[in-house]
Amino acid sequence: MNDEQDREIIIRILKGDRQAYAILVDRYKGPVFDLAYRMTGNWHEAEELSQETFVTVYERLGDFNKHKRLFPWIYTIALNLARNHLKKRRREAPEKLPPIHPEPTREKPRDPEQDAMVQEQVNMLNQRMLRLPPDLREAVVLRCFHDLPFQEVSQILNISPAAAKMRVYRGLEKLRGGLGDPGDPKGS
Amino acid sequence: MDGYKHIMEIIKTAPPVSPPSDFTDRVMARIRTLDPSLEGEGVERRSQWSPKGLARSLFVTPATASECSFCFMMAAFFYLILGIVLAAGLRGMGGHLHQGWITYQPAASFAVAFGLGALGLLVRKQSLRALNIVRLCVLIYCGLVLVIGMLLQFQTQATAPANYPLWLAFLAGSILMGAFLALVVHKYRGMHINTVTH
Repeated sequence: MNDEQDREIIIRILKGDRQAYAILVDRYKGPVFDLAYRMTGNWHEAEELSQETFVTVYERLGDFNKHKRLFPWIYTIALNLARNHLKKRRREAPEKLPPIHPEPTREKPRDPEQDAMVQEQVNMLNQRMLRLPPDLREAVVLRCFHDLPFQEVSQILNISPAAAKMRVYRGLEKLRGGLGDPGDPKGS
Repeated sequence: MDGYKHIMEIIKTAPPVSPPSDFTDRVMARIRTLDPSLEGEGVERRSQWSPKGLARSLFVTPATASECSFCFMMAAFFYLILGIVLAAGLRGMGGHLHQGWITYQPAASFAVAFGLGALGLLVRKQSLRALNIVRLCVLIYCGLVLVIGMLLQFQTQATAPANYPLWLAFLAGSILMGAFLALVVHKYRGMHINTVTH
């Protein structure tokens, strides 16, 4: 992701070249969609949220500080929309968790038994992720799923790097409880 | 993260989720249905005319050729007004003025105004060569202001030492204006080095 190219594209859009926005959407749709999916656990809701994110980004592009990096700003907007969406969902159906769509695994396992085991672990991880409080979930998604450094996580969440670290570790600790981690001192 | 190796391994096996293949088209279709005032030039106009946006575009980085050109036009306008004031002032003094150098000042101001206006138009060409010429001309302007300022001071020091603060203010103002224009064109060139024609 080249910040200078982003800046040039933004200038083109602000000058009236609306089609140039498609380049930005193409560039960031993957991480934004993944983030929305990890936050909601639902493919259709993730699609709706991601679309909403890009429409909001377009509407506010005139207010964007061109001297800053674009992708933390997009992430911040996506997370704000996801938080509002989760609040709304909680009001409408307080106890109900969204269905989890099983994901294909990244690496090909050696045998079907291992395949099934890995798949089960991934599904369990997704279930546990959705039980995390949203503030811990977003920190874990940004740091562990998207490999962002703590500095950027803190910038996106608008908290200090120490607080970001704390949220990630607290999230991981809660996740470890239900995944049969051999390293878990509680042995659950 | 060492204490969470097991979880991290599971996370690594979870593949990233991809949006549908027509995702970009759907977003662009939604954007096309937006209020026209939020689109294209509307977005630009809104960002330019907010006080914060205007201050940022003038004093930090000109985003477009028209903003960069605007800075030169304003500098040209300043010299135009200065020339008119000097011309009117000298005419008011009638034939009492014997120092030849000051009678050239209105013409010099008009010439600088014309030159800066031309540079403002040149910036709009959005070519690297034009930007290089503009940059060179601004540097020449700064150099000339310094040299002419020094010459004037040496010439008038003996006859009118009280003019020193006035001379200093004019010299500093001109140098600051030159530095500002040089910065504007330098930043604009740096931002658009990949988009302007070579």
